[in-house]
Amino acid sequence: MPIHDDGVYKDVGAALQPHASTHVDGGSDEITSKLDYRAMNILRARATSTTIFSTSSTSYVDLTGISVNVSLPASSVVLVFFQCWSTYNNTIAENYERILRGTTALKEIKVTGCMQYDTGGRLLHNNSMIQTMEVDVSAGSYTYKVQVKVGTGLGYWDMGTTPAQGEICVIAFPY
Amino acid sequence: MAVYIFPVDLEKVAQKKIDAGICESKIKALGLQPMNADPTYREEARKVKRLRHKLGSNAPPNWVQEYMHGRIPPDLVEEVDEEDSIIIVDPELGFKAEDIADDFSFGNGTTIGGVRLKDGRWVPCGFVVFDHRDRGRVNAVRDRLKNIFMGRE
Repeated sequence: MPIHDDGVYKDVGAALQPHASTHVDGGSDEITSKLDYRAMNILRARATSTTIFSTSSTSYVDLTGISVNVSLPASSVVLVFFQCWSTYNNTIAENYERILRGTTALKEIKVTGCMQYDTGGRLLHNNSMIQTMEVDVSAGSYTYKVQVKVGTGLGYWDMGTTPAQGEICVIAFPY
Repeated sequence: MAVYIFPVDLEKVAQKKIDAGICESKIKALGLQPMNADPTYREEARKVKRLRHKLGSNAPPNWVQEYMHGRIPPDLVEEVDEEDSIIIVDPELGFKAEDIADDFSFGNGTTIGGVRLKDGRWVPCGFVVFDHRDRGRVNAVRDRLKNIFMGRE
């Protein structure tokens, strides 16, 4: 499906699109029309980072390079994803992440249980994935971003280098 | 609180010869204490933010730790504005405090990463958050703080 990252929904054209033109489970035309890809336009935004980010902050701090601006031309459903190469904490403590739209926190997670070692005594790195879906976001311009903090100790968010593994993606389509 | 922002040696950051933990231990050796002992504090580009339990003095005494572990419903806690932020940017970085995006959060500790400006650019740097009352002592050692973030001390 064609996607656009210039902040404007576009008519992607029926000829290019697969669609559910037959009834699903004997459903009505109204139901199948909601499944029809031809009516759907997609907006996307993406930012990447190669920063090796570290913090001792126990309250939320912006994660370097992980923010995107989107302009929604209409009420939208918005999907937000973030992941980087790894995250870990060097003490017996947790790391936390949250996704925000502007100053509004949308989702918060704990991304490490505590300092963990493998059988070779090496500090284990953890999956940094966080995602959320908003429905019925009003038309307008927004910044989506990720903030992080630690319980105690030092938290690392390693974005990787070549290619950049730190990435935030926003995908939006009409509500 | 007051935020001090310094340039960093990116090569040393990449080699992990500099990170927030290394810097913070050296900052503490100067007799200074970042604000991260209190997780209710956070400093944004314009305002100091503070977490507050809506039950006030009737809140459980350990509500902060319980909240941090996700054991208190978020709607029982709110974040309120306190005094204006104090942001001190090292001149070598080439931007001013007013150039920083309004919603940018510095947290309350020591960080190696970057600052987002209003024009969307990210500038690599390190920053540390101190109590406003410590400004005099911090200002007296600003050159040494810069050396710490640059990996020269």
